[in-house]
Amino acid sequence: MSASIELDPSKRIPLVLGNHTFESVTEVISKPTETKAPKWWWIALCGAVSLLLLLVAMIGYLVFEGIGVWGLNNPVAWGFAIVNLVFWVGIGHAGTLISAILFLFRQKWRTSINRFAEAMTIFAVICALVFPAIHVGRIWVAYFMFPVPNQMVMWPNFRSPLLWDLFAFSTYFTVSLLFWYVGLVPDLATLRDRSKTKARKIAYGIFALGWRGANRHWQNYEKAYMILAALAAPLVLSVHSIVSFDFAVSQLPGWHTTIFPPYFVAGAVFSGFAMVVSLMVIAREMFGLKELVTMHHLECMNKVILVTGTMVGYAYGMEFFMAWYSGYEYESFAFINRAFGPYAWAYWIMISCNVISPQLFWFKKLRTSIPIMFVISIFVNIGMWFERFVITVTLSRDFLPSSWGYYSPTWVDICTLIGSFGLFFTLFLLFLRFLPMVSMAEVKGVMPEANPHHGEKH
Amino acid sequence: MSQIKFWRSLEQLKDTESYKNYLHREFQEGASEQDEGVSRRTFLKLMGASAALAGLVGCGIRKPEQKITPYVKRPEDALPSQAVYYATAINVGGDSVGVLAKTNEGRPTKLEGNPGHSRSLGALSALLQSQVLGLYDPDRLVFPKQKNESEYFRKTWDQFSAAIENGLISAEGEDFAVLTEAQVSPVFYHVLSQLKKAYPKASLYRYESINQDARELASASIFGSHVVPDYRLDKALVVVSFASDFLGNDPSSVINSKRFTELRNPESGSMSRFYSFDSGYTVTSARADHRLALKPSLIEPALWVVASALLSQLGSDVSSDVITFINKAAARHTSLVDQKLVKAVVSDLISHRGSGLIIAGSSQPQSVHGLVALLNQVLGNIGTTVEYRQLAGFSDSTAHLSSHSSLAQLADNLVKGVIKTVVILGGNPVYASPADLNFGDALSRATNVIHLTDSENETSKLSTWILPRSHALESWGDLQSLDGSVSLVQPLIRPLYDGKSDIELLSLLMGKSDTGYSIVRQYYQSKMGALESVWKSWLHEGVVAGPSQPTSVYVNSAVVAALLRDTTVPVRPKNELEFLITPSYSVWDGRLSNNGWLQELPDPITKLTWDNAALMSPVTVEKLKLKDSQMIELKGANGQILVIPVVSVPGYSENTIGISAGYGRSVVGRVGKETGFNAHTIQSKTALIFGSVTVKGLSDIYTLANTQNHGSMEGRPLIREASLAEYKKNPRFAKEMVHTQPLKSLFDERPYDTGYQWGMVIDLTKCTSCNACVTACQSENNIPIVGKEQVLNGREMHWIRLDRYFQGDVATAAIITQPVTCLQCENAPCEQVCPVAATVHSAEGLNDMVYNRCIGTRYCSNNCPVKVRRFNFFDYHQRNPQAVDKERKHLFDYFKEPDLQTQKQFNPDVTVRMRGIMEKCTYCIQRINTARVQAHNEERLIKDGEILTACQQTCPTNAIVFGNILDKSSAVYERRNIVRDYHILEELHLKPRTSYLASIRNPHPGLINSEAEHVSKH
Repeated sequence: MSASIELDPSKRIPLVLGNHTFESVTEVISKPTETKAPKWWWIALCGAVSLLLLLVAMIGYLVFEGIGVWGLNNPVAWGFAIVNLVFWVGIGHAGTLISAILFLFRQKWRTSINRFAEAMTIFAVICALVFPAIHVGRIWVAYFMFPVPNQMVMWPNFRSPLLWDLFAFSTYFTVSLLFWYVGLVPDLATLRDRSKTKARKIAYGIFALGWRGANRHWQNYEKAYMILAALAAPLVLSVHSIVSFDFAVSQLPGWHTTIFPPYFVAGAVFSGFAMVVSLMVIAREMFGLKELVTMHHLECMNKVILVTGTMVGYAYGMEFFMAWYSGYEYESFAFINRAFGPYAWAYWIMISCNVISPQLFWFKKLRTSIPIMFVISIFVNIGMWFERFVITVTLSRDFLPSSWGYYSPTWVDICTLIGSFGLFFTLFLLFLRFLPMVSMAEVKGVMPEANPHHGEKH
Repeated sequence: MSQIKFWRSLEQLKDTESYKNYLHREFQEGASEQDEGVSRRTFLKLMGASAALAGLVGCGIRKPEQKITPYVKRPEDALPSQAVYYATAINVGGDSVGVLAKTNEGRPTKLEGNPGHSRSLGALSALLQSQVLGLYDPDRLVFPKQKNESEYFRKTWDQFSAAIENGLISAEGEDFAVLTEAQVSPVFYHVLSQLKKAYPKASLYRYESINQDARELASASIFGSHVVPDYRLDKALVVVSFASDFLGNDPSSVINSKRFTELRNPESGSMSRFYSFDSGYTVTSARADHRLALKPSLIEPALWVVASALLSQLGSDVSSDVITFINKAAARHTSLVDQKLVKAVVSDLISHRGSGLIIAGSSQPQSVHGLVALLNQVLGNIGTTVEYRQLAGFSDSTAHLSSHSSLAQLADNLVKGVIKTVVILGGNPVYASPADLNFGDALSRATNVIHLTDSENETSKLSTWILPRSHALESWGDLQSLDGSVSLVQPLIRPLYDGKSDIELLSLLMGKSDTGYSIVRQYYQSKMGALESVWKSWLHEGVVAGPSQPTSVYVNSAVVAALLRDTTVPVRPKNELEFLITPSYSVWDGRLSNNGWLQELPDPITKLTWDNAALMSPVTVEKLKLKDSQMIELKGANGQILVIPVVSVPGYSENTIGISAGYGRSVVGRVGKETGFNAHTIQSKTALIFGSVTVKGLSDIYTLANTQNHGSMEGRPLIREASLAEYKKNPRFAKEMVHTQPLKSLFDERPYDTGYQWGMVIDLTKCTSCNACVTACQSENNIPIVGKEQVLNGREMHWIRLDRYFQGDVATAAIITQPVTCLQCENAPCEQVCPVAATVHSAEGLNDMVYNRCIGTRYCSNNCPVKVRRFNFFDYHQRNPQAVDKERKHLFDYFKEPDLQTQKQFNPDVTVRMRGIMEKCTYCIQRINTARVQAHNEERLIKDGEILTACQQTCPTNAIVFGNILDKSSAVYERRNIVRDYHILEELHLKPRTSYLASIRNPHPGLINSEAEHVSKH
């Protein structure tokens, strides 16, 4: 199949394989939402919901007992919560990048994966948002963060990166959600029209917002989508830049570096794409979407992983260079300590997973191999989690050796992390079951049939 | 960077295997485990919490509901919210010190030194300050108990009196004994003599496990009278110590520290020089200009070497017996002390005749004390730098025996059946006596054992009557200090429980029921004819009589010769291991075991909390192929055994195993439970303080909670130190250690040039790391105790951290300490990152923490370059720090506020912080505001010295100075302008309000080069 593609380089690689018609595309994509859920789905949902309950229990315990149930201590006042926050926000980057930036750049291969990636973004951001909320010591007064008019005439501190985070996250979440929803409207209408039960008809009908596929609808839709894409595009850069400010704006050795914003954005795209690949590889298998989400799509994503992975690797190297070049002893120590100190194990996990493993994607054979890409994408996700861990535990050794410490997570930390995956997968499984996981309207647009001249002789 | 000069973890320095393992281990041992096992209760709690989450937030856990009731009829003079101070006195550790006790609405809340008392001059040690928490010890004995066939039953004092009347004690007292502690109360001795009259055949014994007996008995024999020394370190320009811990655990540490540091002032013309020959490592030897660490039995030979050199020049008046003995003995040990050092010591002492001082430590035998007194006399120091006085009670019949002989005699008489009834006034001899004395066995043979005690301990378990003893803050009495001054002890509160004081019990034994007040009052009425007005002034001032006139004494050198000949310490081979029992810097002899402040107080040398350990030099540890935290089995010469973990301390004397007393109590309250190991099990009748020992490494590893042991100083210029000569050559050395570009803040910098601008200067030359400031801060600011588990996790809450670094090579490492607390940076990094503006700057330059606003993001702590912010990870005040099970027993208890006795100690002027919020040093803002209100009412400005922060107030060395840095006449302004003043981490442009004065030592010019060579060899 792929061999035949390479024979004729003048032709674009088809984005949908097989003899699909518009109708068959609709059939394939709508099927999972309309038929009885397969057994594996139920099993997976049970697993995910159990983990979600674990998360709820852990949060309950945390709120009841105090932040001390985590492994935090005096030098290391941030731990798993912040690591998880940055990790999930990072994962949430692929969606907006694929849907907005690639849309603006007219990268048509995005159509088969954007819905999926956007959904993943929304759920990842939901997971991420759990952590800043629960990591504060007094959750019941966390509303002090919001600029709410109050009797104290007291504003939050606009100099604090944590406050910037609040705005960055909420904006990002809102825009991503809107963007995702607007893109869903035509497909929801399709599902409504195909509905066989009243309940489905009403449910999908409400969310389809009366879409009839009229020309005017399409015109407005395209405009709205374009505008939202334009709005969302800068957010891809801003959110993770601002997340990086949490570290970069402080004055700790190892945190206070100007390279953080671009490096965090690259890392976020890196991890986001890796997560899409991990999930997509499974989903296309399970739902028989191999002809819509082709090897070409996966290869494109792997190329992005290779590029961003290399950028991240460059950033790691540059950090060391700057630490040395600055001549600032505390900074140099922080980096030597990172690579050879008590947390060297975490550092080298990070380097192996993030810098070394994606380099395998230079080889076409490897980047088009499903098992290899699955394993590497998992590695990248592990590596990116550890990247944030390594950065956070830089806290353990700062200026005064007398205050140095060592951070180790407790069982609550670990269960909370695992539980956050429960939240993510619960939402994701529900998405797979109830919403079209590939954008029918957009995929149809990139099929040969969509060309007005399709079927005509030259 | 490359050359490690300062380090804190030995493993790091040596780059050992274990350290590498530690580096490569994923998580620390025990780290990924839960504090407590998941019990059914925990599970229920968890489920309950999840279920109740929605309703809970904002109600049950948030605000404790406590109702207060106003006075219906206000007592005269009682102004609510106004603290009242009373003068009284306290004795822990050998010398009594006058204190001012602060009471709020009738509750004693804090102890401060009485500036009018000659042994305090306003300062107080950590142990003395902690007595106020002892008052509220939740495990105090509440009512009298009587044993009836192995079970104890609640009784009343009336029932006890009835038992006395019914002949509990025989009429003449023939089989009756009284065992007392080392008392320094004239009234006590007066009542005791009355008791002796009432029971003429009764015998008196005394026991104090940590005592000054060797010094006192030596004095008695060489001077021919019972006298005690008082060291005038404020006049001693050359101090030579032979194992004396005069700044730490030897008596009078408060006044000694004050006097010693008066001459540790590099800017004044004369700075004293301090030589220390000592075993182990003490806060005193950490301040030495020259230190020679020797195992305990080699201290005496070192003294011979020095004495021989000294007497060869000045010995004309000394009996030839002494000289011959010394010369002969010294000849055998010439290699022990470097000749250059001997020369330096001798020349310094001789050139400072009358202004030098030799001090012998309490661990040393009588012969050392005798010889030291003789040398002081030869040097003309007696009467100038050391004064001797006769005190009440010291000529008492019990004083002619040492504590241990006295107790041994009692044990003997108990075994023989000569004594059937024993009254034990306080103390815990069953625990705190040598294992081979078997005092417990002897005591259980008595028919009646009546134990007056604060709380139940090992001795009470063998008693037939356990009687509650009232606390020093609840009872009447008096105390005499070692300089002869006498103070009244007055109660600040009615006894919380049904307790009686020592004198009240003695009176009860005589069939009388005099109150403490009437006993004390009558004594002073008859003795000094005290009028009401005089009595009132005594109570008000806290002093009955100031220091008495020193007695003139003369050393009989023939007696010294006899003492030298009969020295009890065999000289052992240099390689033989010796144990050394020292008092604990935290729990003293174990009587303070149930005091959470003290248990959590980091040891000044090891930074260990909640435990003791076998301290050894890293050289010895390596030689014995041991490692830190490994359990070892010590076996004494008489077969005594102690199992204890190892902690290596650089600079510790080789072949010495130091063990602090007071830990490993078996019958103790909730706090002291399962802390440390009992040093008395290695003690024997022949080796009371030190003796030979063998070591066997065991495979177990013990977890020790340490507030440090993290990494290397990496040559960072945090503590800056120089010798006096270097300082004189380049006074700007401290400032020049860091070069910075002109710095500019990202944000507008405020000038802070009007009004009060508070600042603090800490003099590192004076700081002895005695921990007094830490406890003062803890009691002033309601700082919680967190418990061993939390300390292990790095969550200790002390606002002041005494950073301790080692310097030099491991065998002879020097110790240097730096108190670090919130620096109150003008450009505070914490303020900028707080999202809710909970930490903000005041117009007076303080970095204020607004507890109510804090939501607990902990970002401020991350961004604090000195990591002095403390986070309330739990509701520490509602937890019993050491209990395995929490106070709360089932789910509903979680909604109730626990009623903890210790909360009565809280300072009402300081917010009690709940969980989830950040706290840190405030420069005692409550004191600033009190002074501000006062000054405002009087329409004046706050005067310099009117505000003393708690740490400054109690600091025995005046190392801390606080005040308005704009006021050119203020002490703080003066200190900030001393050229060795520096800021730490200057390059961060913090503009801290707390600055440091560099540490200056005064080594002998002739010894600097040789030491430098010595260091470079390693």
